[in-house]
Amino acid sequence: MKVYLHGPPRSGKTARLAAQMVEWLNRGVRPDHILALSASRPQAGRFREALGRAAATGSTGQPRIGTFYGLAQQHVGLFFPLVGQAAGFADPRREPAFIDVEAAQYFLNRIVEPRITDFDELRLTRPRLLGQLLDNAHKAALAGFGLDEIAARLSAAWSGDPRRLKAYQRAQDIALEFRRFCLDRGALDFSLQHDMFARHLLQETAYRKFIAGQCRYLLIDNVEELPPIAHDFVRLALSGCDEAIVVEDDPGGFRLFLGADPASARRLRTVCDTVEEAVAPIQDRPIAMFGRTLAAVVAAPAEAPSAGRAAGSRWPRVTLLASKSKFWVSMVQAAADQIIALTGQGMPASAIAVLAPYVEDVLRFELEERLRGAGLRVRAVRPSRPLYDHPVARGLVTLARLGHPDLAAAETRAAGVSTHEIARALTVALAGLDPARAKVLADGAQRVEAGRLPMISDKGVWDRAGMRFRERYEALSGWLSTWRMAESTGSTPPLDVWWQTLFAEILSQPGFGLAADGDGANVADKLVRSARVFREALQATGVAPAQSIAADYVGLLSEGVLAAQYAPERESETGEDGVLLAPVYTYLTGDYRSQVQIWLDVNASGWYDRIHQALTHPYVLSRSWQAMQARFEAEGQADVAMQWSEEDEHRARQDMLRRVIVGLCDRCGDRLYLASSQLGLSGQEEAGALARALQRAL
Amino acid sequence: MSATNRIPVKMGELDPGFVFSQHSLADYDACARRFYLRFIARQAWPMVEDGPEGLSAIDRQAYLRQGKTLHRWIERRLLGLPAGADSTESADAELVVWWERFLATDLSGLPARRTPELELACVVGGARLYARFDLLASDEDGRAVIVDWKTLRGQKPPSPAFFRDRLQTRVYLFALAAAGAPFNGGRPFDPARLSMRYWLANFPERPWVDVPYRRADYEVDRQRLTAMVSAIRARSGEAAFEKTERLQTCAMCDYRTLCARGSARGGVALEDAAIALDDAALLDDTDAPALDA
Ligand code: SF4
Repeated sequence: MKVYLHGPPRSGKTARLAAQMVEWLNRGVRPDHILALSASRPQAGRFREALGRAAATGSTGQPRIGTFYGLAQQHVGLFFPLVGQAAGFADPRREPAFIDVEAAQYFLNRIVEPRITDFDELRLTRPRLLGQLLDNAHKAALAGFGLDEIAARLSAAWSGDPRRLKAYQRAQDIALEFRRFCLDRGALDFSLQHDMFARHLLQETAYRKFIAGQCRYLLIDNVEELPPIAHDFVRLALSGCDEAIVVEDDPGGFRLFLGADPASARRLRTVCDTVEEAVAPIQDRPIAMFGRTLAAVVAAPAEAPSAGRAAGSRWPRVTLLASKSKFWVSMVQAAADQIIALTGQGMPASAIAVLAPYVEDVLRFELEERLRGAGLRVRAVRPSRPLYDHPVARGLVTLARLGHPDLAAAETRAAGVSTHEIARALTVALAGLDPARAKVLADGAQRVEAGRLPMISDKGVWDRAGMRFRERYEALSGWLSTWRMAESTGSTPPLDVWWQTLFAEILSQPGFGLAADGDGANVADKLVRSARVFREALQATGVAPAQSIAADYVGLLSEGVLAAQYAPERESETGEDGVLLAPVYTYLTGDYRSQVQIWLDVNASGWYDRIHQALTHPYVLSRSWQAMQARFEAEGQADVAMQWSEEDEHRARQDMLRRVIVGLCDRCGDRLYLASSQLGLSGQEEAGALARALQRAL
Repeated sequence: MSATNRIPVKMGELDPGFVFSQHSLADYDACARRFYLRFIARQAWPMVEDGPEGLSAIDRQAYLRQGKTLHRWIERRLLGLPAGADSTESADAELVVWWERFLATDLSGLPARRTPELELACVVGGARLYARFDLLASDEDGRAVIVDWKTLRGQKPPSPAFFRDRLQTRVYLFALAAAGAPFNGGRPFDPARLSMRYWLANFPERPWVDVPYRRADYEVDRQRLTAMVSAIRARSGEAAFEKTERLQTCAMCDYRTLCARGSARGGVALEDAAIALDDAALLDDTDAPALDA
């Protein structure tokens, strides 16, 4: 039996998937014939947890568990000799090099560099420009259309300044050139992997047979969060499998940035034997009921009569917080007071989630400060900070500029390392050195030799900085100077190995900065790996001489172009205890659930606004748009109908807001608090669609 | 300055869903603290990864890459796909030699049903124990051979006893006997019908080493693996995972500066280190979830 199961969160769908997997194993199904796919790694973790629990009763077996993206990468790698030629690789007999987003951005940057002024009028920073150009290639691959359609789609949808059409054409030309570059050099970036998967591998007879043999039992979770080419794969697997459950969370489609397409997912219903609805009786879930009412108000015309009752009467479990507050901090204070009151009544802190469109450092800090007195912790699951923002990463980059032979030579020609950078690097390198003393040392060093870390003989400097640092400072200085003097040759260690050597010989030794700093060592390790993957991608594709790779890496890292790497966070920072603080979309895509939700900044438009992207468009570059276009063309009105109008944007926002509201409320068990202030964090006044809908619904 | 740096990790418990493997058990066998640092604290410690026998970090990385490529080519071959090695001019010379030796190897003595890259998990001491075979060759009458492609280098191959005793062998054979029924028509394999073969890419004069299995071995392995898993699960907190007393174990350990147990550079080459390096070629594939991007 092949079942398409849809329903709201908390209706037992994922539990049913997990139970089915264990039941198949207990029934003696070959574990390697079971494929369990999820939209994200944490969600795939639920299958593993189920296996862990089943182990207690002796259940054995290892199904294939993972994400669609991992499966596509693995299968493209394995079947490469079958499809490399058809995909256009210059040498399909050579093993391809999988490259990550950082290396892709680097290659793209080389292509964009000579034409950067072509995009001046868009006023985009370089990282954002590269990000959007790459995003177009990703979207095309995930929806299953060619890069040569990008400009036509975006242009047909555009109704503004005609100069933009040129920019679309250039964006497409660059995407095509990037693709040619990858094919010529044997590089497989995310977009090419998925393009090959969808347009070549899925058509290959040998692959179809392989899937029919391997995927006899299929479990697909959160199918609505997957892109259309994943649905193509699921359709293929469903056609040959014995049993399957495909689960759709409704509402969903929050991973718009990764091509999530619920409409495409729903078309899979036709290839399943039955469609079942998982029911969670709504009358027992007052917040879910409120969510549906509020969502209906969002869609209703503005002049429609208000549902019109005060909070606390019709919706006793929904409370407005700080609605008369003028300032943002008062709103945060009201939220903190409410949390303290709730935990005082026995509610565990971990059952409470504070949600906002964006979670900036200042929000985390303010909330932490206000809860600390009550002994409550905050666990923030906001996106991690970029690796280069971490002091240890910055310190290691500065030390490399001071000592790595390939970089030190470049520094001599360029402006050099500043005193400020040296001081910060010293606080990382020498345990116990505070910023003030580091500044004394850096100043002293600059008086001896600017832009370096020379020996300091001035006793006055040591009297002020502390004699206890002298031995370690000199060890570091001597070590760096030995390296700097070494000529940059073919045997110079690449940056990743050089950093490892620095870590082993200096930084992890007693008294140095990372010897007892586990988090710092984790950041150093992440930096080493990132530099290595970057180097290997450049070496495999032969695009840059070995001696320039270190400088290229450091240059792009400090410009913010290599922003894909994030600093690792300890489990203890994101562990289970404490009040959860998360951006709305992170909460939804991570499928969190809470007894209590506190929504902050309900006046803000960030609840439904997309970040403005001049060169790309999630709806226009989707498969649903393609289907719509075909329909309009058949009706002879393609030109006019395909423009993306203000009205379309308004509808898309409304639709997203409705899904966000229902998605959040379905994940809230008991009580909902809505907090706002007249002025936002930066002092602006907002009255977004959510706030207006709340006025009418409450 | 204390002799040992303490890592300020708050949690000290093994994840309840933790999946054991030959790698994690080998770490525990070598040193309980190493197990703690790697699998509970998940502490990275980015030391230079030199290889044994003077292999530089860069050479080591290239060697690991070649090992991975060889595994991929063999997997393709076993699946009936073109291996991708037709263009040997773009491949590394040593890799080509390995590949040619593989092609020249007579595998006809192995049972006929071939399943490459097979993942298996059994239950030991209430926890899951994971294995990934390069190849399982089995037949209708319950005979099965686990095959492992090894690219380890050296003057001469390690002794048969070395292969017999290593944890990989014990875990793989035990896991197949304990959880292999779905691959044997629903009947558990009789341990006496199982064996493991290490194919040695660098020793053409002795292309493989076979390790037979017996029912008594199965019982011994069961007791040993259960005792190991139970002992690990019974420990709690950093202090419960003590440092090894065998100082030579620390010489090649990544954590040696953290534990104040050795110099910045790795120590002398050991036979065990050579094979550990060889295994590392598949470490990522083995312990990481197989399909995750
Ligand atoms: S250095 Fe020695 S004591 Fe420390 S983890 Fe490694 S093997 Fe154990």
